[in-house]
Amino acid sequence: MKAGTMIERLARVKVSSGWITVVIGMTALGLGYAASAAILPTPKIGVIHIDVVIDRSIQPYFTIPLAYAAEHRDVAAVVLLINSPGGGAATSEELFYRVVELRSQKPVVASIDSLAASGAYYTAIGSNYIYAKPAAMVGSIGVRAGLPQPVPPDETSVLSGPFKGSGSSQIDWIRGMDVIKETFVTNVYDQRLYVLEHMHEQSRADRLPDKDQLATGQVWIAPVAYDIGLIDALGSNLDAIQKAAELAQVTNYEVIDLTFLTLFGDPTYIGSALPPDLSTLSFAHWSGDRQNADYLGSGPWPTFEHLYLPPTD
Amino acid sequence: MRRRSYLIVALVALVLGFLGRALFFYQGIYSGPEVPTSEADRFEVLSEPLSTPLPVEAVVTTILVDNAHRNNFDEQELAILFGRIAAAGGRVEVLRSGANLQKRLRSAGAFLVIANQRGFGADQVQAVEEFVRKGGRLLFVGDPTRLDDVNSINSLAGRFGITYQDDYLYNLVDNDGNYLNVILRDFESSDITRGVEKLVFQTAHSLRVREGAIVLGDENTFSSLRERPGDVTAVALTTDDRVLALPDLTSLTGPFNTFADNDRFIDNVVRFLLTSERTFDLLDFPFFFSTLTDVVYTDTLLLDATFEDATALRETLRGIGAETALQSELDDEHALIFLGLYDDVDEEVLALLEADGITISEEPLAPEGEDDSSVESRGRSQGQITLEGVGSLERGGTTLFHLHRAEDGPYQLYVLAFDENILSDGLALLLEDRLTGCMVTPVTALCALAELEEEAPEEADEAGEEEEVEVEVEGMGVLVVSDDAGSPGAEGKTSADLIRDALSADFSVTVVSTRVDGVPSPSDMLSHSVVFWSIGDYCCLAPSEDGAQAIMEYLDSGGALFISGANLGSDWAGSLFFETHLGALDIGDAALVDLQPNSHPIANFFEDTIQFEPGAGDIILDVIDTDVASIAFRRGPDSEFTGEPAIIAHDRGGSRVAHAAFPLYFLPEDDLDMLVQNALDWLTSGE
Repeated sequence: MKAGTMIERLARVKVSSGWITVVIGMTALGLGYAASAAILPTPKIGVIHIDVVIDRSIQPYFTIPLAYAAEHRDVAAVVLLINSPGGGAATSEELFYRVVELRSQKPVVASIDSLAASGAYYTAIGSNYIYAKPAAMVGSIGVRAGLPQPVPPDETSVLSGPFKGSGSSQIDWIRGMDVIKETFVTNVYDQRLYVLEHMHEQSRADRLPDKDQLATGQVWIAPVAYDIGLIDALGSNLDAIQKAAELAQVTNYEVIDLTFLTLFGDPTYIGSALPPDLSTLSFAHWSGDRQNADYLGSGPWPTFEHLYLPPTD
Repeated sequence: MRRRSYLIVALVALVLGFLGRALFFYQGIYSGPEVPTSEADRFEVLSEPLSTPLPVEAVVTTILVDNAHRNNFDEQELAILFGRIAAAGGRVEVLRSGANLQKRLRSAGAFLVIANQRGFGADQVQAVEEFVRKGGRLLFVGDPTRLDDVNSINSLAGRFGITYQDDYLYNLVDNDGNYLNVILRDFESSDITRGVEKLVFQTAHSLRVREGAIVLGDENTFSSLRERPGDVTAVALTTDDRVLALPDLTSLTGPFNTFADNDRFIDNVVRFLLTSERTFDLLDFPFFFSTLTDVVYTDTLLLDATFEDATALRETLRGIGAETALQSELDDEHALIFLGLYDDVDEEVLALLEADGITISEEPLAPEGEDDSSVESRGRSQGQITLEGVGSLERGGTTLFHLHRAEDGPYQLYVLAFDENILSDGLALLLEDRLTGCMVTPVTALCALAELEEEAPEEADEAGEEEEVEVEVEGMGVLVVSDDAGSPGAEGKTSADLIRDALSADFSVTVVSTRVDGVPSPSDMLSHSVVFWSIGDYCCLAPSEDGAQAIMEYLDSGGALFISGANLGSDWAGSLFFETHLGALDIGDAALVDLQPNSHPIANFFEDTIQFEPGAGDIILDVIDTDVASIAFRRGPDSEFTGEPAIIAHDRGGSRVAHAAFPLYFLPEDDLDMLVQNALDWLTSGE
C-alpha cells in the first residue's frame, strides 16, 4: 500500500464527537491534576525533635527545622517530639515564640515522650495541642539562676561601675528572676487557658490551676497534668501526628522528619533517639542523666535557666 | 456550538482534576489562633525600699563566736555583724577547735553559735547552761542551706526550749522575689523586734518553742516539713530573754541585710549580744574586774612578802584591761582585791564575811572521827573556818578566797590566808587558775595549802632541787613547745594551745614559745615527763638547728617526744635528726585531708576515718614513710598517697618518739583530745 493512500483513507474516517469529548476531558483532567500538584503539593506532617537539653549553643538544632516548616507549603503541620528537661531560659523562650509564630500559619502539636520540664514545657505550650504518654512527666514551671558574684576591687584592671564586673547586684538579679518566672507562668496560663477554652469543654478550662500553683516548680505525671489542663490528651506520637493532620485538615499525608531532613539530609528517619553515629555531637542528648545538664549554669557568667534537674542523692 | 461544548468539557475536567487532587489531600484551610503572649509591661519588678540601720550605743563586752563545732560559715561572711559589734565597742573572739569552752566563756558576755555541724558534749552543754544562768546571752543562728543535721544545733538549743525543725519556710504569695525569701510581718513585742515592721529571710528554718516566739509566719507561710500554712515560728527569744534563735544566716550577710528592715533587726541582735547583765563566780577570775581595781593590803609588811604576787596580779588584770591601784583602806564603792591574814583582818571584813556565811574562828577544829574533847587533837588545831552549808576546815595552812558583791555594786575579792607564805601560794593558785582543787562554792574557795607544802619539800629534797612548792593537780608535768620561730605557713599556726587545752584538765602543762622563750634545753625537757613539740604549719627552718640538736640530745637521754607539723620532712629529709631520731623517710609532698587508724596504742579507740577540718587540703604536707617505726595512722582514702604513714611511733629502746606529719589543729576537737591522750599514754608507758 502506498503511503499517500493510507493518509487519504485516514482523512476520510469520520471521528465521532463522543471520542473527541473524552479526549479533551481526559486531557483537561490531567492538566487540572498537574496544576493542583503544582499549586497544592502533597501535604506533609513534619516531625521536629526536642530531645536534648535546650542550650543556646545548639539552638539551630531546633530553629532550622522550625524555619523550614514555616517556609515550605508542603509541610501542612508540625509535631514536636519532646523529651527534654528544658535548658537555658532565653533559648527556651526563643523556641516558645517560634512555635507560637509557626502556629499562626499551620498547626503544631506537641507529643511528650517521658519528660517535658521547664523550658521544654515552655516550648510545648506554644503548640495547638499537647499529647503525653501516661508515664511522662510535665511541668517544673520556673527559673533557676546562678547569682552574679561580686568582683573584688583591682587596681590593675579598672571597672567603670560597681556592677561592671559582676553584671548585676544580687538583689536585682533575684528580683529580676521573679519577673522571668512571672512571664513564664503567665504564658503557660494564657496559652493553656486559650487552648482549653477553644478545644475542650469549659469544665476543663475551669480546672486550670491559678498562677501561684503553677509557679511551685512542681513536676506532674501526665495523667494529673491532663486532669488539671496542662496537656490536652494522653496518647502516642502517632496520635499526635493524626491530630496535627486533623487540625491541618489534610489527609493522605506523608510524615517527614524535619530535624534530620534539615540538619542531616535524611527526611525518612523518625525516631525518639538519635542514631548512634550522631552520638559524638557536642550537645547533651537527654537520657535522664543529670550530668548531661549540669554543665548549664556552670560558666563564668550568671545565668537564668528554665531547667529541671532531678534531685541528687 | 460544538466547539463551545468542547471548551466547557475541558474546563470542567480541568477543575475536576484540580479539585479532585486537592480534596484528596486537603479538606479545609487552617486558620491559626491569635493568642496573646506576655508583654514586658505586664510585669513589675519588685523595688522594695532597703533597710537602714539604727546605731547601737557603745558598750564593752566580749562576744565569743563558736567555730569549734564544724560551724558552716566563713568569718568573712559575718563582716557586717562583727563590724556592728566592733563599732559599738564589743570585742569578737572566736572559739577554735580544741579550745576549752568553759574557760573561754568566763570572759564572754555573749556566745554565738552558727550552723554547727557537730553537737555539743554534755560538759559543754553544762558550761553554756551555767553561762546563761549567770546572765550571759546566747544566740543561735541556723540555716537550712548550711545545716545538714539540725540535731547538731538542737543538742544545745534544745536545752533552752528551742528546737530547729529540719525544714525550710516558703511563701508563694508574699515573698521578696522568690518563694524562699519569706516576708514576715507578725511580731511579738520585744527588744529584738523593736522598730522592725518587716523582715525578709532567705531560706529559713522554722522553730518549735513552747514559749518565746517573737517572729511568726502568716497564713501563706509554709514549712516544707508540714506543707500546710500557719503556726510557724521563725525567731524565738527564751530563757528570760537571754537566748535568741534565728532561722537564717544569709539575712545577716550582705547584701541581704539591706532587705526590708533586716538592718534594724541586726542592730537589735547586736544590742542583745552586747547588753548582757552577766554575773560572775569566783572561778571566773579575773574577768569580774573591768575597771580600776583597788588592791588593799592590811599592812605593808604583807605587801613586801607578796610583792611578786602583787605584780603578777597587776599584770593579770592589766591583761584584761583593768588597772590596779594600791590602797590601804577599803572603799565599798570600788572594785577591789583585799589581801590579808586571818589574824590581822579587821572587824569590818570579818563582819562582811560572816554576813556572807563565812566564819573564821580560833576555836580548834577536832579532826573527823575524834572526840571533840581530845586535848591532843585540839592542841594541833590552829582554828577553823566554817562555810555555811558546806562545812568547816582547819584554818592553819589555808587560803580563803571570797567574792563579794553588794547589790549592783562592784565586785570585791577577799583573799585571806594563815600566813604570808600561804597567802603567796594561794595567790599563785588564783593566778594560775587552779582553784578547782580547793573546796569551792560559786563565790568562795578554801584551799588547804599546808598539806601540799609539807609534802612538796620531801619530793624536792629527793630530787636534789631547791625547796620550791609547785602545786599540781596531778603529779605529771608536760612541756608543750610552740615552735613558732620559723617562717609562718598558710595559717601561721602551731597547735600548742590545743595540746595544752587537751591536757590541762589532768596534767600540769607548761607551754613555751621558741620565738619568745628560745629553744628549751635538753635538761628543761628532761624535767618533764613528756614533751609535745609543735611546729604547726611553720617551716623553713622549724625546728631550728638548735632545736633539732636539743631534741636529739633529749631523745638520746631517754626522752619521750611527740612532734607534729607540716614541713619537717621538707626541711630535714635525709638528716640524722629526721631519719635516725624520728625514724622517718621523706617521700614527697601532698595534701592530707583524712586519717585511717592503724593497729597501735596511739590509735586506740579510733575506729572510723578521721576527716580533717575544712581547709586542711589547702596546705601541702610531707608524705613520709618509715622502715624502723610503727605506723599509728595512715593517710585516708580522700588524701593523696592513700595508705602512706601519717603518724609513726618509734620506740628507740629507752626513748620514744611519735611523729605526726601534719599540724594537729587540722583534727576535730574530740579526735585531737583523744590522740594527745593516747600519745601521752604510749610515750609514758612501758608497753
